[in-house]
Amino acid sequence: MFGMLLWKEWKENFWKLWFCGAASVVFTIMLFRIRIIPDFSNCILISFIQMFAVPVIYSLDIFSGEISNRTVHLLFKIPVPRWMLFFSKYIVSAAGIILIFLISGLLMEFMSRGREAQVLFLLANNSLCGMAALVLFTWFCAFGCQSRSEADSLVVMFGVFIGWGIVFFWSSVCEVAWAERFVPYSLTLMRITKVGPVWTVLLQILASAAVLAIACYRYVSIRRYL
Amino acid sequence: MTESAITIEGLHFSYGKKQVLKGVDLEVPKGSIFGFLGRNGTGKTTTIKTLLGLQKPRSGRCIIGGLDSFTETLEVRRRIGFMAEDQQMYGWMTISRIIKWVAGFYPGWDYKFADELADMLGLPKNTKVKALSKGQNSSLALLLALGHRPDIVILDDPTLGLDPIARKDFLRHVIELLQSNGVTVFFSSHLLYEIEPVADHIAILDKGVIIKASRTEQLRESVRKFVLTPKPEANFSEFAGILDVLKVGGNVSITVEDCDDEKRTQLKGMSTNGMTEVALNLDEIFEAYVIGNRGRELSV
Amino acid sequence: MRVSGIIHQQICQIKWHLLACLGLIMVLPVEEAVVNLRAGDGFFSDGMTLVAIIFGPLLAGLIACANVQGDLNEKRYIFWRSKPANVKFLITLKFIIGLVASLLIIACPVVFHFVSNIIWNEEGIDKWFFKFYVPLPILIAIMTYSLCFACNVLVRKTARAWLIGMLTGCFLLVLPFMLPLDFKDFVSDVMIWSWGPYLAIMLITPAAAFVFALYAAKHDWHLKTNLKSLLWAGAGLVFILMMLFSSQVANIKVLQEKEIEFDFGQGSLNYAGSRVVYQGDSYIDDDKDGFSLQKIGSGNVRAYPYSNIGTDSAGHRIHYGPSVAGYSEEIYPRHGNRLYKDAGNEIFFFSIHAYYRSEGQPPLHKRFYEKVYLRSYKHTGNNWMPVCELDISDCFTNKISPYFRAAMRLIDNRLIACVNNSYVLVDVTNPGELKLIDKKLDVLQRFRPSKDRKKEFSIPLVPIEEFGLEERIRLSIDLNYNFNYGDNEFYDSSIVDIHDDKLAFFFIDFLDYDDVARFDVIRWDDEKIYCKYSNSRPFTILESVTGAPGRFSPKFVKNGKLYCHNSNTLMVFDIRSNRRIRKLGHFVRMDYDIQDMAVLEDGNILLCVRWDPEFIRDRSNEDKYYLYLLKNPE
Repeated sequence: MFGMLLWKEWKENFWKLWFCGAASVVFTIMLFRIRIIPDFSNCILISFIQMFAVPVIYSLDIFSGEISNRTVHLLFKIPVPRWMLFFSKYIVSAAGIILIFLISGLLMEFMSRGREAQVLFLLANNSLCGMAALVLFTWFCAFGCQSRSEADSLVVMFGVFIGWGIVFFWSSVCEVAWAERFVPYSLTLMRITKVGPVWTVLLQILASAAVLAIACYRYVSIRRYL
Repeated sequence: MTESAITIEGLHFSYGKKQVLKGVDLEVPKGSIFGFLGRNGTGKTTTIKTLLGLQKPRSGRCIIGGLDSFTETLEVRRRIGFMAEDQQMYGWMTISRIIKWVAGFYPGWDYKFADELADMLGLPKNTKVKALSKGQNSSLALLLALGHRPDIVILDDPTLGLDPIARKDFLRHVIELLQSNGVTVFFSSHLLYEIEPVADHIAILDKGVIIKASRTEQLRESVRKFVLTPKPEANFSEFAGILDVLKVGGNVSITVEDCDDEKRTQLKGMSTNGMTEVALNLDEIFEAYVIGNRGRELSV
Repeated sequence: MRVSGIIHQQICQIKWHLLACLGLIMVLPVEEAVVNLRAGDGFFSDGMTLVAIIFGPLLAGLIACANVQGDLNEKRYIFWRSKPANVKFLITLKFIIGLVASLLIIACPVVFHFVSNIIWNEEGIDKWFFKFYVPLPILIAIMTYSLCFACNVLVRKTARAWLIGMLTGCFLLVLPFMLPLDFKDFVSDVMIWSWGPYLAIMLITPAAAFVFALYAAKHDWHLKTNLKSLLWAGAGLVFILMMLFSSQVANIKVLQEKEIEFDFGQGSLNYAGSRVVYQGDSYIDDDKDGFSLQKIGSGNVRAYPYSNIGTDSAGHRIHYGPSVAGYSEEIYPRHGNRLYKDAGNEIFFFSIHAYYRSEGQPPLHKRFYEKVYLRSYKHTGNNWMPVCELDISDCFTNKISPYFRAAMRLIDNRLIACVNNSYVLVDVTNPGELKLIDKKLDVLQRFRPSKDRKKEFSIPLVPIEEFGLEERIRLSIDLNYNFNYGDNEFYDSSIVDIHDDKLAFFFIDFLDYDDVARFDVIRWDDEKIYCKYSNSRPFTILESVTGAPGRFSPKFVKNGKLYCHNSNTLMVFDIRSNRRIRKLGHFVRMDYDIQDMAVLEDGNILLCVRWDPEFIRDRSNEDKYYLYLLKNPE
């Protein structure tokens, strides 16, 4: 049954993978060929844009779309536990996000071939951004899984971005290293060297697991809009 | 006593401070077509959502086919067929695809039956759902609710938004498909004339409580309107079972429930020159129950 | 129609959005003020106000969507359109109320910044901040507001309208960057100020969007959209923009890229007759398969000449050279560049060597230039060996000088070597034997430019009568180029274009005019050349962004094209027309350092760049050098 839910989500959201993947590939090839800025900076640029854009595109309508299209009436009444519905959506999106970052990371590595950055450096950096994207997506799920429309989702995402921005600003200005580790943006290169990679990754994984549980709980407890 | 397909006992539900259901009790006999009536916003959909285990009641319980709908939600959903009001399906799937997809969630899905249904309802199998008309959309929703041959079918305002002919067509299909197979149909609507020819049992929900539940025929028999010229000393407010009193010129029309010979005699005694008895249709009965003044505002 | 009623309804409609936006925009400045207060500096915001007002345009768009969404969703549109209301008036009123709300959102952090800095910041307010940083976001906010408003009228879905509005805003703002070069040449003909197009966009767009919104609302124009096609359309637009952008900044095609060995100096590329020599150790051979380096030996000068130029107090002969204690050497041309002469099978180069003593401690030390030699070197075996030397020390007429200015030019078999204000003319028919023909001391004059470049000005003519007038004029301009007489880079090239019997030269000014300007030589007499400003090609923001201002200097003029580069950007201009300078090409490698460039015989451009990997590559800090073969843009 879970497989069928996964199939449905995969089919329904395949265009996002196709869209983000194609955009990533095209822009990566373009920027790495034009080479106005060095490979490393190109990688940072692409990875950063992806880090924000991919989770936004994935979560813009993944939950709210069902409610605004009223398909939620069918979905919630088929005999499947609600957590399964949530995870089918989450897993498919997460897989999509990972796949997109993997493709662009490998492409960057191939295009650069150690030209201006160490071998595997770009892949590693892009993967960290992918991780941050995944964490951000989890946060979007936690706050946005009950939203009714794309506008609601967008507001939630704005809130998450700015909220973490504020924490980020505060923790870096006041040099509160423990708080900095909780900020998803810390997963990107510069931060990780400052606050220690292992702890940051570990904390992010733990925090994401907790946030995921909250997200799932919130999705399971949707009562309105049915 | 016949066995119940659905039992609702003392159901209370509130959205925040607003109490929506204030103790709903209902028995739906097996094999009946049960019309669940009520005005907009009286709690019909809330009752059905609770019945399906989609929300937890403050108190009370719902038993469907012997299963508690809140603790055994999945099993309940597997056994029943449900069709929501204005239900939308995934527009990007074709009809055959969505049938196959939904079938996967029901262990007892009857593919042959579903195929027959699709033919009968005139659903073009390779068309995408988003290209369907409203009527076809409702037919598809019905197919998806019935494909696993459930014993109990719950239809929440299934004909909402359909034109009169499509509505009639739809109901004809429902009856053809279900009545003969002994399936229990729990059917909510606010359109009485569409329920009247179909339902054999009726419950009326008003302000969060069931104000009347009975067999349709029995209801029609027992609710009567009398037109009479009252004696000056007649006091209708103390008369038991009065639903509505209306003064028309010098005459008074009185709608009475549980009408029997005793009540007829009593009423006759209050009249100066005899009285006329009128049989009511379901529409009028519903009106009397829901907006009737119970004789309070009129003392003659 | 009761106006007050509409205003009230409108305010009710956006009040929560307005409050939320105010909260959002004030968070960062207040947070910064609190941080400052805790650090003991006082409760004032600084940089975060700027960050906050950058969010202003985004929030203005949000207000625009909230402003009309309530009236325009599919079901409500019918409702209010069925009422006897004047649509244009209604929409105008709504537009103005939302606009005021949007401006209020930006005003809040600005007022907070102003008040808090006046009261609590000892340094007071930063006027530059209010002059430049505040008006720009306000203009952009008005633009995004109007665009989102119009989009919402058209699309009638908040999130989508916002996204489309923002994307359109970005598109319009980057459009001047992206337009094809020819169009930009046209714009630069019309526009006097390089920021002009932006100002025009920021003023015209709101008006156009507003008028469009009026008509769209009146005639019920609306689009049915879906997220998928919108995203594809957006990505397509970005792609087109990127293509346009790359056609601006990367329209010089890279034919070949090669990492090269590097010894010393600055990666110089110099002409030796028709060929190009890299670093003094390799010829560049160019054919249709690309270029290759043909090693001729070491680029270093292995032996220093023993100049019999005096004895020290102990009676030992002094040899001047870098290793002699107490004396320093300066060589012209600098940075490993050389003035080559290709003499059939042999190759020579000429350089000027000046020797000085320093007295006192820097920066107050004085330099005593004592000796200066003109030397010729020949490539023999694996090294460059000095073969001849000419003592021209008397060119230092005033020996105590902090400067050593030099210039050289080889015209046929005559070598002119200038040192400070004197020059020598040498016969180099046999480069192994330098024959002095003429020497004149203190005859070269410096040109002092006037502040108004449009006024006619004159440049002193070099008094060397050996050459034709054209050569003299060219030499005079090159010597005085950049309006000083310091490091002259035109030893094997020139900034003067001679075309249709007209002489012109070019100047790039990033400080006052922000353009590349053409000056025509209009007449001359025995002492002076008279020049006049002719026309200029203003730079758009593109050149300002990718080029470091002030450091752009023309490299040379060759075959009707002006080549110039700074540390990371190469630009090529077409200067064949007397009336207009056209930009042909732009090539950028940010974070790279362009060392030198040359134009090969077949017209291709050869560029030597240095890449400083810093910590990015392998932390070894080992610079890498590359040669790029570029296709010359036409």
